[in-house]
Amino acid sequence: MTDIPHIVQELSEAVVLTDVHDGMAVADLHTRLEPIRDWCREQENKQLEELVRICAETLEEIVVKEGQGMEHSMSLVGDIFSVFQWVICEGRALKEVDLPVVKLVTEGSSLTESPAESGAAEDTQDVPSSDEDLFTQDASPTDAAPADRSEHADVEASSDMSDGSPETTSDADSDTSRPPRHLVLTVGAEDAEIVREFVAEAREHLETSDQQLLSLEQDPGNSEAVDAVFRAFHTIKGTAGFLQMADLQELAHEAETLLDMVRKEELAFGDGLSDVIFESVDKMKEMIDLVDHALSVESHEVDDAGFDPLLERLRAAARGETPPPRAIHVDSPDKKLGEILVESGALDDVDLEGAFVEKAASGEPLGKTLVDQGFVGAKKVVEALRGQKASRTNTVRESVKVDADRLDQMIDSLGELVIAQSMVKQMAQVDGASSTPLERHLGHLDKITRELQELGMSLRMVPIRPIFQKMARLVRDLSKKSGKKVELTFIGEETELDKSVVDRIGDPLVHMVRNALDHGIEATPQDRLAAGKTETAHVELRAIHKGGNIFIEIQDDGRGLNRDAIFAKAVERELVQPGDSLSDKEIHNLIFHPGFSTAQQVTDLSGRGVGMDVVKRNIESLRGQIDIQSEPGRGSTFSIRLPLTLAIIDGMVVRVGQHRFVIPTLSIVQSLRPESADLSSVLSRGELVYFNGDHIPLMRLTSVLGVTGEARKPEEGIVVIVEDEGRHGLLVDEILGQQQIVIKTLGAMLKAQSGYSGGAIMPDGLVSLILDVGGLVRLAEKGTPASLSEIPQEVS
Amino acid sequence: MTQPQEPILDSTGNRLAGRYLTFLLGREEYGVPILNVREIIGLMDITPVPKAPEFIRGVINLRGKVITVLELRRKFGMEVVDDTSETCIIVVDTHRGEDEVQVGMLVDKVSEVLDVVSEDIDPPPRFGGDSETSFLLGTAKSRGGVKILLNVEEIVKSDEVVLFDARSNL
Repeated sequence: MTDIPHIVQELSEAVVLTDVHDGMAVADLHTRLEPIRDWCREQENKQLEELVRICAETLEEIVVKEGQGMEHSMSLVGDIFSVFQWVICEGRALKEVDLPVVKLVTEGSSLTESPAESGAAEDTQDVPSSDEDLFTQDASPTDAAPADRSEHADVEASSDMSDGSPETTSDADSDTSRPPRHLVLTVGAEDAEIVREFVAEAREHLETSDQQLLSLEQDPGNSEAVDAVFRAFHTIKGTAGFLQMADLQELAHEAETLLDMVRKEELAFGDGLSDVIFESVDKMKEMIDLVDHALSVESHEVDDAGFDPLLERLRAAARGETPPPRAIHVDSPDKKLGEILVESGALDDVDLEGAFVEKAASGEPLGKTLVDQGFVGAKKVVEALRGQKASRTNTVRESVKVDADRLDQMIDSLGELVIAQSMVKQMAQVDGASSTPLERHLGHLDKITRELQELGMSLRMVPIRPIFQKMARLVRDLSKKSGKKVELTFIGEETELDKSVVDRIGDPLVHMVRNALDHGIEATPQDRLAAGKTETAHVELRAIHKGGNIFIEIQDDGRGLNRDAIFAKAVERELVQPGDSLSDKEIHNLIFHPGFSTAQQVTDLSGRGVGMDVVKRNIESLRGQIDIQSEPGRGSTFSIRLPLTLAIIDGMVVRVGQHRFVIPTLSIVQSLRPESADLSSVLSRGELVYFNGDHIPLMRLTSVLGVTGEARKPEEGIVVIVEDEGRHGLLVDEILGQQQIVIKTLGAMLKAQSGYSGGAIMPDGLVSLILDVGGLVRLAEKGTPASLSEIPQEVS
Repeated sequence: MTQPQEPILDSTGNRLAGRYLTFLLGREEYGVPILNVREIIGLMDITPVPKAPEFIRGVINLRGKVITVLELRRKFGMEVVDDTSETCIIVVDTHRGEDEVQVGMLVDKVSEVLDVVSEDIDPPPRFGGDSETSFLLGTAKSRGGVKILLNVEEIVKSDEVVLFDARSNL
């Protein structure tokens, strides 16, 4: 039987990492639900099965809507997965879980109770559709449903918004099949006076609202403005009710509720919210106009198709679902507000002139003046302002989607170009017929080739920011679930890595962040206080370029690694003997053993013991390395080192005997011919060379690589000082030159070979090996054959 | 034409009958499925890889790609001889794990492409446990003698020297 808890956990992580707009990733989540569904069936757990179904439908809807406004749905999926984790991984009872979505399935009633007069879209939702439908591609019959269900769950607890409400479908705008609301506005003769007053008052209120909304746009924190708009709606609602204008009352009520939530800080006044409130104000103005008209003709009836959709949008906004804010597109950051409005047709030139005059007199901002004078609606001004802001603050760079394969091909070709160009250069020099014009042209060619190649390399580089941001989501999620307070900070999120590396670093980072939160950080904020730390734990994610590598570090100020616990566990697993004494580094490295975990219990967060060894393998497959620093009680730092996967690098070609090797220039500090005085030898550390105030270990490539070289004494050769996990001096016979080289992988059979990071195709067409200093150090330390296959195996 | 027999299958169920490129290592003749063969190149300068397993002669540049060259004699634990003018490299396409790889095999001399029919194939002799002989697909009788059919994927997959005494098995 497949390991369902494991599947659930993997999927939960994937859910957190998935971008709601990434259709393929969301669809993938959907497919991966299947084993869980099957398991629920086997367990005959109808409620869980129902949850799976809701989850699948929500995912389908997200895909269909391409993620627009679907953050709420995604968070529902996240909630469902939390439920799975608690129930499936931790064995809690379903009813213990306090989430609205659980009430849906346990109480059962809301499921089958679909709103009575629904549109066609909801007919099929009453009975949970057959499971075959669940996982087919055809999402259409059910795509309106899931959002509805969640609506019900949330709406249950909150206000009586659904009272007397008309049909509730989630996609109000496109719903042309429903009959428009028939608005009836009657004014009896005896009410005429009151109504006239009401109309005047309401118009004033609505105008004020406009202005207040405009100022809120600039300053969303302006609580007075919020209050003012709230009061406006409240008053209109009251009077409309008194005058028995039910539709107007209803609209005012919805709008007022929304404003109330903002007032109470249950909702933030974001752009999407302001749009729908502006619309409400406009609609109310319309209706007031109708009332005014009704004054003269006694009664006025009209069909308004936009009424109900607006109500629906108001309710959706109250649930936190707002569509993206509308803005006028502004193509140049230098456009002024007036220009934008005139260009978009919302404002007349003449009026603009007039407004300038007014503005000069009053000193008010142009936008306000325009609205006050009635030249343009507040909403339009807001939209224009948004557009202006977007074009200025966003370095909205135009981007083009490029097929990744083509990019790779292009980079390969660029590599060939570099080689060919090198060859030409070499030949020109060799032939000796280097005339000045030829040299000049070759120089020019060289320069262009270099630029091209840098450009090519940079195409594949993307910032690590999105990965870090996903970590932010993860941390928020985890800290909510565990009750620990955690603050996450980033350094270097703009650091760029090769695209393929960024894709693959996500998973290991997730594991490590989880570990940090689960094991590293103290169990409760109180524990931290008791330890003399701040209540809120700090986790910092760093990305830095250094020496041809990129370092990604996760640092926490938690408990640090527990030496004793790790040692004890290792003894238990017979990885070490009780009497062994291990260095800190060795203890830390123990946690990378498969199945190793010192967690007392397995939580849904981590502790299954599958984490760190997988992390290590993933990182090593990226030709990287992971290192741990930790101080008990103070915290830990996990450090990942990755090579910048550059296809073309600058390299120094050196000779050792008959062998040619390449050392990446980025790693080289300096090359020198040592003097005897600089050389020394220490029994435990081997040969040393004095450089820049330090004694640096000398590595004879002849011995490390087992090749024959010429220089017997370092003074006879050249020492190349390289920086890579500390400094080392590599002893070579001769430096042959510096050149651009194309890195090629050594092929599957040699990929694991220590000491080389790849092969370089030289101008003469032969292959040279690119040295990997870290690997050489390890080879030197081991002093044993590089691979077991040097020892022939006996076969009977 | 004789009666159609049961097709002889290798351990992964693939039909063994087909065309093979045969070559010599010492006095023994071997064959690899032609479908695996990408090309044959004459001996060229090979860059040695220090500290790599003995049976890896080194790497070469094959049209911009770096290819590992296996010295089959060493891989099979045979006596090592000097290269001659007939020594060449057979470049094969195969898999190692999930990766597609191209590997060069250094052989004494390339013979011919041979059509091998099921009737002529004998399954590989067993020693005890599959691991030692998984790199053999079987043996094929042909007018010149017996050809030992090799499983390229297994040879490339293993990190070990594969010892077997060809003559004693026949």
